[in-house]
Amino acid sequence: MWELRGLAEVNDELQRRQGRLLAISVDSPKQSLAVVREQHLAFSILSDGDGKVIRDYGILHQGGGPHNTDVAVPAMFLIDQNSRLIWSHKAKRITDRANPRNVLEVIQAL
Amino acid sequence: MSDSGLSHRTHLTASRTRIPTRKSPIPARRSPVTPIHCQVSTRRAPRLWTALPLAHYCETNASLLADGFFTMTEMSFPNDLPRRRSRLPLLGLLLTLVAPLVYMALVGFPTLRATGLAAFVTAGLGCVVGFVGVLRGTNRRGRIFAGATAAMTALYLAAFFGLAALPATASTLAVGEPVPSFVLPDQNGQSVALDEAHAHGPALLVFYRGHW
Repeated sequence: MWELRGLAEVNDELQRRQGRLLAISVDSPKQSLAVVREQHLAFSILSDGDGKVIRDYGILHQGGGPHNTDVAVPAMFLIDQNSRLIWSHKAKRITDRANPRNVLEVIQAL
Repeated sequence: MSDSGLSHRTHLTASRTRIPTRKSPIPARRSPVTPIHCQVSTRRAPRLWTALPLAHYCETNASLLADGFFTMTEMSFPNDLPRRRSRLPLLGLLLTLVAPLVYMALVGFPTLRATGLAAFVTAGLGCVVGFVGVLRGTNRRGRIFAGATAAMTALYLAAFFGLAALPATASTLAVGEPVPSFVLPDQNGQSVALDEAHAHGPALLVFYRGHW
């Protein structure tokens, strides 16, 4: 959740390019709203309560959440206008996150 | 007394009958002497500021010493006295206990988050401080503190590098391949379609573990 706050510049760059940043978690919309307010986020958080999309992207961490719930492995997918994957990052450890500066460089190189 | 060679390593023992005052003048030379043992320091090595006033007192009252009212012996500091207690091990333990808080405070910085650098520097500093404390001499409690500091740091390392591993992802998405489409509700309950998100420019999906 903390990593979202560092994505403000990435979000700005995407908006400049008519694109969009979407955060996704298993949280309910109500919980996501609290996160958006707490972290002062300028982008949307989508709710994938049953984890279907997370499973489609192959990044489900079974029993990784509180009370053995399923959560997403921290990951990023950059998608072009033709719905094709340009770049991705998947965390190998709990503390592993893509550096927003690297993400920004990837977007700027498009 | 000026050539007695008093230094901060000198352990002083002065014996006297009583301090001569105006009401009770200096007793006769042959009065019975009951030495009162008075040590400068018991637990710690005498410091300069402890030893000097006594040395000064003895020097200024050299005549009393000569008269036998004072007997003074110099002793070197014995090795078997309790070692000086250092507070550094406690400080080191506190530093190491604070390390996770440092990690949480700086978790917004990606590099520090991924490497845990700030927390490990803090914990390592705690270890160094504790180690220096033990080297400087400490009591049993200090050694327990230093041991706990080292154990905590080892625990952090194990937790960070061992237990925090995520399962290997089954993601088969490859660069250049189409990604699965979806429609999901946002935080206001409004549906957002991926196809609309990348209709005019690149879309970045950020999956995260949740609000907890």
